[in-house]
Amino acid sequence: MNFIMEDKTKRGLTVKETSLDEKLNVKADKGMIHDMDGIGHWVPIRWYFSKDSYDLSQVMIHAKEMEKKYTKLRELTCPDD
Amino acid sequence: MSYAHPEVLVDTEWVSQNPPNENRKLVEVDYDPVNGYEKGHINGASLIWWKRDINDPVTRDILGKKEFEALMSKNGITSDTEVILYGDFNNWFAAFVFWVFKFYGHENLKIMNGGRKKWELENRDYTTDEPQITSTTYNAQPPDEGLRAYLFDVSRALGKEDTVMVDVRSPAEFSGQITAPPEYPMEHAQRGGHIPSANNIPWATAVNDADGTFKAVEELRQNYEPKGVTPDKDVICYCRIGERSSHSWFVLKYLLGYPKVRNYDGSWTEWGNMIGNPVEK
Repeated sequence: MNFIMEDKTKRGLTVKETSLDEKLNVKADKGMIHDMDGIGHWVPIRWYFSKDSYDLSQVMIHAKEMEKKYTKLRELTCPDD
Repeated sequence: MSYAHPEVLVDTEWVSQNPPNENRKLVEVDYDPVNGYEKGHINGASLIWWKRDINDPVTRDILGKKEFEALMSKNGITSDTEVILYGDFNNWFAAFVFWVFKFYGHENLKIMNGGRKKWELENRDYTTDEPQITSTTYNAQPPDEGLRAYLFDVSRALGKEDTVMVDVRSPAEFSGQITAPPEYPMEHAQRGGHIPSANNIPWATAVNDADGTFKAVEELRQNYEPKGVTPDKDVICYCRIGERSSHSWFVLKYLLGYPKVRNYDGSWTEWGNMIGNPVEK
């Protein structure tokens, strides 16, 4: 059994492979996003944290990190001031 | 019944038996060369990277005549060279480059039917070695504007019975359900839908699912004629950024031999972003 963490900003992206996300060291569904130059980059869509190795609080740390990343991006592109 | 211009196609077997030489150049055209050419390409092929080599680096436009001549020189191509194009993404960008070569008047030009997809399905060899190329002098022709439709051409064509618009995007893009798939977040428009009265004939309906090769001529006719896309019309193809539409442009102009077909390379990312443009859903 797993805790599943999902990046909702990747909604609709086709899952092309499931493999190890080396950053978080857990299995992840991955898709590909093409940048302005057309270059494809693998991006994780959802991560599978085994309940044998992780408890919810550990997963929440990663979820909060992700939230922080997107808050920073929002501030960069749509600053309040 | 054969294609109207069978000389513009070669198959993978022909390419494997006829390697590039002084008078014949093989060029891979990629949207994503990092996951294409750089991982492996057909021996002797040089690379044209759609974004870097075929587009103006600042303005949204294809490259100018001088830049095209420089690109040909860099790829060892002269005006007389036989050039065979193939590439990633079902040859979409190879077809776009075919269209640009024709825009600047290159005559001896072919596409490898099926592109990378078919080559890989047949387990044929790739190399990561890049060819040694001696630069050439290339004199391009003045642009053939008859191959290209601009925004004002499309606006003027609205409601004209003798012009037919072919939207080659997916039905979801045509209906406005999406403006671009999530894989291409840079290619969205402010509005979804299609140009009024356009026919939705997705590019993929012209190819065989299994290997990406073009369908036979009778099947292609059946794909276009019942929808009013006939040789007596002025045909304008468009998609999102003009690459899938150049694939259908190639089919209509070279495989079916329609006399007047233009590619609207501004496509939906231009039309769907312009204030006041009419949109149908």
